[in-house]
Amino acid sequence: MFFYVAKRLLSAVFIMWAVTTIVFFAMRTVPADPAEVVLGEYATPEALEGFRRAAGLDQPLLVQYKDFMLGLTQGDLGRSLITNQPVADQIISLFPYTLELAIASLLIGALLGIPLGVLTAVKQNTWVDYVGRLFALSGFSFPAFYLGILLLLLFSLHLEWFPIVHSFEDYTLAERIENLVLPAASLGIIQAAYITRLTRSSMLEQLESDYVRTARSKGLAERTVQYKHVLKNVMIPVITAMGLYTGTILGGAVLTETIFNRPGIGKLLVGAIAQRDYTLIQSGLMVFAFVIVIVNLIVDLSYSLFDPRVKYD
Amino acid sequence: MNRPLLSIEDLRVTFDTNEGGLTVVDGVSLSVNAGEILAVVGESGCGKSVTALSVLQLAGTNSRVSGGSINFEGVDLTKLPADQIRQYRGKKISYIFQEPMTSLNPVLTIGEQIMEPLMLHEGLSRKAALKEAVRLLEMVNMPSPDVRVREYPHQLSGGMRQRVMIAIALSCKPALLIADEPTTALDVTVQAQILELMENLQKELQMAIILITHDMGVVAEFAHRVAVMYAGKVVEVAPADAIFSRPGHPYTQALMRSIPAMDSDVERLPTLAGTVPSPAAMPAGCRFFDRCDFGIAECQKTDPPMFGTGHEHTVACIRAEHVQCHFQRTQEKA
Amino acid sequence: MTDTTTSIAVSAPRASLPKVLWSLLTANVGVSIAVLFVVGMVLVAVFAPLLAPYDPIAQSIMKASQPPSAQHWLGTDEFGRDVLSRVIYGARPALLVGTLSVAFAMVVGLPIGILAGLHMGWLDRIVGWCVDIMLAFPSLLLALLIVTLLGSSLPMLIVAIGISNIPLFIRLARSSTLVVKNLEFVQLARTFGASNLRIIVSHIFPNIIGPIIVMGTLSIAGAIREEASLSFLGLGVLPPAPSWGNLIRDGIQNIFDAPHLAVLPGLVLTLAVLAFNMVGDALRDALDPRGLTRRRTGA
Repeated sequence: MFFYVAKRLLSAVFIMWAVTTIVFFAMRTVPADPAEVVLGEYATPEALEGFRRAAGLDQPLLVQYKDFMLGLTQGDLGRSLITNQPVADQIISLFPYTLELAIASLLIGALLGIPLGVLTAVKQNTWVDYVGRLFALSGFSFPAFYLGILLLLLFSLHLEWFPIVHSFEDYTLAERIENLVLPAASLGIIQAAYITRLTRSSMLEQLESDYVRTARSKGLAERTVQYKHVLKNVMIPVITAMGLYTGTILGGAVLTETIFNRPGIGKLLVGAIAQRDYTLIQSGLMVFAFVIVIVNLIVDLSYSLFDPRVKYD
Repeated sequence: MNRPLLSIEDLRVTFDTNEGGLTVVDGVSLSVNAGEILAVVGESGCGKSVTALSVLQLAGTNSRVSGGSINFEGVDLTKLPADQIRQYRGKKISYIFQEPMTSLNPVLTIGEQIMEPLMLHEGLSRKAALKEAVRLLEMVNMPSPDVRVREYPHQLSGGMRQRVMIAIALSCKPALLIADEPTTALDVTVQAQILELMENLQKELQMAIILITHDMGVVAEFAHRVAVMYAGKVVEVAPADAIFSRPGHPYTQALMRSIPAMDSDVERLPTLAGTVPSPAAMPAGCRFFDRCDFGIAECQKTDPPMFGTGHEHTVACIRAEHVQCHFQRTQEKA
Repeated sequence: MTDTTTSIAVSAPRASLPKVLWSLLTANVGVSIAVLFVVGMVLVAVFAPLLAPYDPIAQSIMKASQPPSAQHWLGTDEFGRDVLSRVIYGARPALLVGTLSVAFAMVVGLPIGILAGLHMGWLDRIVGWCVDIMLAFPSLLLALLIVTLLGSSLPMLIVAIGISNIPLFIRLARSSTLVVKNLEFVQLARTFGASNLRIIVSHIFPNIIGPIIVMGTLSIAGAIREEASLSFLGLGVLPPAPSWGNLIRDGIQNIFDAPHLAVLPGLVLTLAVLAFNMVGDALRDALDPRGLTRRRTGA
């Protein structure tokens, strides 16, 4: 088990390195010049030159790369080309917001999606099934940003249940949750739709298994069969998919943070990309890769809770 | 001893498919007496499994009993609603299935799976059920039962899993055990062990068994009576020795001929030309006619009823006696 | 000699493809509506110049920000442009980018997948690796990055969104190839000297067509959503050209007085994605019995 985790961590580091390197070189081999972007088109050649020197952009590519890697090992992620703030600080301060959004939406997705999936499978071909599947299909089709807008309109503007403008300094736990509800819901509903479909098909498949026939032949009530016997087996592929799905969740966070004006890595990254802030983009993407890999590892390890056949070697 | 334990009368089971209803079991009548082993033989698709599963309404949601009755202890099981049929399952009548690999739930311990019927039907507490589960594992000759009881199915071999299935099936001492090809998926050596185990337990518990199989060797060893099925119907029922010595139906004869005798010098196993008619396109007359060596024009007119040809021996063939004589003559020659 | 082996059916004989499609799509009311919607959308996109009452980018300060009226069914935006016309024209980038990006992903992904499946070994490991990494990554971010690096022109948008769909097609092609490769008669054909190319063409392709259609349709749904997301962020279709995404973006400015400016294009967008998803689902039930298009781990 220990070796398995160690192996996975090693491959995680490798993936992060691969992502960073690819992004690093990709960005620097492209015509856009950050100096011009930052200083504007009327900057003098000397100013541009000075900027490039200060940011280390005039060095040969491999030297830049070496410097960057060295910096990494010391925890220095460089400085933003635009604001000149240390990247590491920015990321550390914004990371929790994105994380809580991701986790909250995942919880909503699971708590809403799994029961609905089970329900539609158990009541297959009744009106409950049709309504549930329609909901799942529609939820799945909404663009994350549009759903966010709709929720904002409905709950903030019309019903005034939630404030439109959020404060993110010195706030209480209650306020924090309040700020989280709508954004998490807009992401969560879409995830719930996806999870519903997955759970439903997995459940239907399991209900055809031989062991279900054995369980019924013992005289167990249908409900016992469904929940005690089948559910655990159903969760296995569902959890796998949720793990694979982490990337998309985080992608959705990008849009949601923009709509609701929440601070977070997503919004940071979008801004950085638009402004060609290399160092920020690099580190932002690296953090994303890290989170995805870690979550995948957690999902992998949590298998053993559901499937006793899983061995780690 | 007068009334049979289980009596299936003219059972018809239809599956609802996209192409309409397919009647897979078409007028099957069988009976089992208390303490007796009835073997049901026939090739795949003849309806033996569906018949067996239909006893406790386990044949699947798209199947329905479209005719006949299944009588057990004075009750017609086909007419019972779900909550009542459940009281028979695992308690009065139990099953053993063919695939021990997939018939056990991979995420529950085998102890848990054995304990379930005990807690449900006998009202045992968890502690008591656990003790009983260990005792049952001992009964089925499972090595180190107290360790095994906490293990998962994937940690056991095929033979051991089938023993677990037997333990589960016998836990509440059913009057009838329905075993659907219990040894087909096992190694030959393990097969013998399992069958011997079943035979011993049967004697001990005085249980009736319906043994579905296509292995005539198994039939010869264990069965008291044999029913032969073909294309959704029963074609012959007889005591075991009569099936082997005086088969009255051409199909049964073909089955007998295909068993190589130990002492004969057989170069080629005789086979039967043709295939089973599909349930969607059954002929009007005898279903075996196309492949039968004894068929005459009369056979094509209607489905032959069961004729008596000896002590408790019935055959669905209008030429049964002729067929029997022919068989005995060829046996003498050999 | 190889002709006799190639004539054996790979899977259970099924009705001809057009028949299956037809009977399926007309079986269910919801699916029929979805199909009509898709067809309608294509027609609207193609005949936009004829259907739109006004030029979508013609500005007029005098007509700015008018509510819906008889002349302008959906009103005008802050630049005086007719919103209905803009919504109609918005179908164009959606459909264009949606279909072409998926086509791009297929053209690149399928051959790679087939090759990986045929050769196995180191090629397969590397490919599988890349696929896993790419799938783990948020496709939106990937697309964002590419668009930033290479610009927001339509071809670049197509490439950016297409790239994130490549791994799925690679995986699909690889799974199908593995399934077919291991069928006995294919191995038989090889002993007769049939070249790899021949095997691909005669055996793998017929098997793969069904899942490709399914995955393609579902991917178009996703691609339409991505194009809208990128345009919404200001990095996709750039104004003044209308796209449902950037219409929503503009609409947000006036979310208080004129919510319909953001809500209506979004509704059309969602319905378009929904329609493609429904059609894709229905196609999957008909054409993909083996579940090759399901997103599962492993091959």
